[in-house]
Amino acid sequence: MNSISGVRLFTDAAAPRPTAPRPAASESGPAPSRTADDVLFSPSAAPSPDEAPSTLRTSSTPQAPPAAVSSTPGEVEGFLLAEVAAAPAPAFSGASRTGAVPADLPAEADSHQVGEWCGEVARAALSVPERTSRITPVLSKAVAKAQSPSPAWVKANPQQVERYVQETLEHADAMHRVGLLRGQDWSQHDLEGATSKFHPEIAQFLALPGRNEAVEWAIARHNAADHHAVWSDPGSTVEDLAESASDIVNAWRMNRRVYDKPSWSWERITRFIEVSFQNNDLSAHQRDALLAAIPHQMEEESRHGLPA
Amino acid sequence: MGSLPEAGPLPDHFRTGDPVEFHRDWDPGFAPDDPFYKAPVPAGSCGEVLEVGPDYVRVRMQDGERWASPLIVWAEGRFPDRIPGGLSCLRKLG
Repeated sequence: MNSISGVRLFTDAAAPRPTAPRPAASESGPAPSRTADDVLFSPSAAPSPDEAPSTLRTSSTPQAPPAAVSSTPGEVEGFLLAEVAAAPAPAFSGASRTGAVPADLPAEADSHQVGEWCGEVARAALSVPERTSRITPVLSKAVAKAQSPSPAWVKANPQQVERYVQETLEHADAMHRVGLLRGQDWSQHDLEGATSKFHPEIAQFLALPGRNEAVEWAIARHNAADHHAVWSDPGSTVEDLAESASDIVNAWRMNRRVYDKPSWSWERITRFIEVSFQNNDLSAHQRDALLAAIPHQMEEESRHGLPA
Repeated sequence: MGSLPEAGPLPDHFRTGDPVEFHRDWDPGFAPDDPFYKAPVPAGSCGEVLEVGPDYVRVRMQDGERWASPLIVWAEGRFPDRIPGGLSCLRKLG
């Protein structure tokens, strides 16, 4: 079994784990033994456009994925310019949302109701600032009341919650749009019931910068979400990993306010995937899913810019 | 473009097998909810160079419990985005 830091993280989640054997590789042959001195990754290992996910889970407007993963910025930009010309950007990042704005929450709403309500607002056809301004006070209040597993754990303050809400909305919006590019419905991304990032018990600690026991606890709760659980399932196919991989690639490109992390360059991302595969930190399916996510993220950025 | 904007050794300053030390704190740059998160490296942590790449050095840390897999320590300031690397925090021992 590979030693995957992601698996280690996801293993904390409460979701049941299938016990199917790890897939050998995306290729038909057995999994290569990868060591520090192993063969270098070849771009040819990336899935060809014909191999890109074609089975669409809940396709509404299926489209062919972008042509290929380009290895140089120049090629990337050439591809992006063509895409931009073909498809003008919407007026604002929430334009793809069509949900109605929910009524106000009752004062006695519990954490689950708050999480669901925030999720409904998150899906409303409003701009990010509008949704942030509606969600933040409600979530901040719920965070202040939420039960903490440890009395020693510091809670997020309203300013931290606001930054967290904005970042979470932007990421969820981007994932929704990338899902549409891939012909899949990811409108529930990060908003799924008890694992929603707007569930107060999770938000109160995920909104904290840095990493400590409290943040790890919150991550473990969120990682019970399907799109995280599937990443650590050795029986998952490249298609199964599409949302997880896009989630990871989008996050790498985010200029994160909460954690003060700069966006990674494409070069760093492709090198990281390459070296992580060599290093047994990624399975072949995980590597292929991440590589397949890259052109879709590039297209998303050509239309809406870098994730905030 | 193409030049390294910050002082620090280039990857080819290192050789495979070199014992190395982080003489300054270094954060590998993963957000806490990133599935590839690796713990920050405090100054004084030691390891061994496993591989020297064109813009990175791979280091196996002595503390195998804290860093189960080798760390990829990147050179500074790669095109197209400026990404803080860690080579300026790394030095050869001995």
